[in-house]
Amino acid sequence: MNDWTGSAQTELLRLRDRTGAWGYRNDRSPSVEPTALACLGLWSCRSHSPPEARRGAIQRGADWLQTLQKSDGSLGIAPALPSPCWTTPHAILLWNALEVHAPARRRAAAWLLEQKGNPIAIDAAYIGSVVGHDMTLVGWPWIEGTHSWLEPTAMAILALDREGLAYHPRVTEGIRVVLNRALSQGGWNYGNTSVFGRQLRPQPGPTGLALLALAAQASKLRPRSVDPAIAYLLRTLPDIRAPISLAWGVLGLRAWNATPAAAADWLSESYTQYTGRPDVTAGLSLLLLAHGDDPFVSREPRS
Amino acid sequence: MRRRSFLTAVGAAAAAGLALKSARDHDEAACRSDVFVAQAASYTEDLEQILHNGLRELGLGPSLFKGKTVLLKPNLVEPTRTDPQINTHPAVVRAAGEVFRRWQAREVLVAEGQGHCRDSQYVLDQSGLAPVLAESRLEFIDLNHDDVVAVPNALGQSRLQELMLPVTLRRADLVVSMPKMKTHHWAGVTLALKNLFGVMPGVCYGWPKNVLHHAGIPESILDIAATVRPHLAIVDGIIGMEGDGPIMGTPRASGVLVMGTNLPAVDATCARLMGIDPWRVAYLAGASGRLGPIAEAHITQRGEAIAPLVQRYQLLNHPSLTGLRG
Repeated sequence: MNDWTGSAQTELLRLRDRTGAWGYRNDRSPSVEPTALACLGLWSCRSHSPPEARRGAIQRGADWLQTLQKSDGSLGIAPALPSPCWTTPHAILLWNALEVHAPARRRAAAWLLEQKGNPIAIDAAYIGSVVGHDMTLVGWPWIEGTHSWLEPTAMAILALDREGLAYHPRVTEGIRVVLNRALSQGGWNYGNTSVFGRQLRPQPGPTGLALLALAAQASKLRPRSVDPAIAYLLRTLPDIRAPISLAWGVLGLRAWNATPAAAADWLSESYTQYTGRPDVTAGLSLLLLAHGDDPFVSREPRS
Repeated sequence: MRRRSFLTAVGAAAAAGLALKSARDHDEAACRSDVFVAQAASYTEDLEQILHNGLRELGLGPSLFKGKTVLLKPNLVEPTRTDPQINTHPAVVRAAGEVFRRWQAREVLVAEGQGHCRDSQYVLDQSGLAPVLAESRLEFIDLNHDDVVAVPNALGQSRLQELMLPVTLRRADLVVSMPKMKTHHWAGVTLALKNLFGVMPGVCYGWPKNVLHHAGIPESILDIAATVRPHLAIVDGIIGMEGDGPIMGTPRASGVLVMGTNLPAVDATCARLMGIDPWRVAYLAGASGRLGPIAEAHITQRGEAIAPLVQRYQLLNHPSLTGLRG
């Protein structure tokens, strides 16, 4: 086992609160997203370290998430915040990885399928002169009642794919949303391609997430957007050590079998640089996921 | 969908002519405020002394800051190393922190909840702020992922009944809005008031903060300002942004730092420095009389005179931005 992953797991376990869940900071209330990511991160190391030592903590986190599920199947972002519910896919991904809480998973997936970003139908001539993307396509929003954006759409695709719903029309349209939001120079940002004719900049985190989502698509095709995005990540990641962006980027590369050998060093350096920070939970979790033997969602890395 | 509805839905609001609830019953003349304009040709100048002198001219000093927790809210929009016109410059943040420490503030925090990129560490690294925070021992709080508390909307310009605010705002005795002087393709200009979008937690409002777009950008700006009630604004106009702000515009060296305790007054002064009529910026017109003065007659200009420093910031050639000049 690589030295840093053992230390990272120990640190992650130390960051739990007394309920067995994780907050975004060690002095903040536990929330769904960091808890799901932390458990996934710990779980992803199971072939490197004996899972028994951590299995209890992971199971406790998964059970904690289940206590937050509402009758409609969704989970709010924290116990005190029953909405918004963009964190529901995170819980699905964890429960699915552990193969637990099957009824809860199904209810969460059913809820997720009902969630739609607001399409905005306008004169086609107006698209492009102001906003570059196709606003009529329906993906998933961060917040109910708002437009579809890249990250929640990609997370929903990943979760539904895990639940065996890769062929569902909502997932198919979600993939179209992801493809439509790709930047011509390669990569993705939060989901705006251009405004008033100016192309916006890509970011490594959303790019990695989008690559993961595209790897989950049922058609098994290699969309045109993949290679420019991989090139963007290979160009930028060597200079990035911020854990969250680096890890999502590496996960995206792994999904398409494009990880360079140096990536292991990037992850290790990122851990060394940021360990001990009060807000490192999500970063540590994702670093472990990017290093681990279960790269998040991609069951079969694409070639 | 009509063009206006489309603009609102995607986050736009025509900068001029937006039907904000009438401010006519509010007395602009009863609101008076001082604004200090300081010249600073570059980020290598002694910004700490410049800020110190300017704030002293405004009557601020240790008596206000001693023992207080001060929250600095810079504008961190985009993770970029190469474009000095996008984010509040780290040198300005450092200088403000040093001034408030010199005035015996109990602690100085830097906090931001950027609207596009979820990864704060990446934005801090790329913007150059991370090493400054480390060197200056300034704690950073990611407002996007903070614990939140629901607070009644103090103004009610938008349909939002309550605002979800980060608990860190409660920890702060004094909130300082530290924006960049920029044009904004949806709002006209983005200055101390618009910078407050960044206190709204992304976990509740999204990335971008689309809930606020749907609720109306000018209306939301006013509601947030009235609810958060920041105490001070320091605008980084040393290098501003013109054209397609707030991200893709081009740098404009204006060489100014603008400061004051009333945000509409500070923003109106900045707009004038940019060659823009503040009365034609919807949210500034809406702020008049409610949150402060924007008329020249009601703002006491200190430091440098405005007229010699005015630069006509380039605006996008689009109908939604026409008319900002007056």
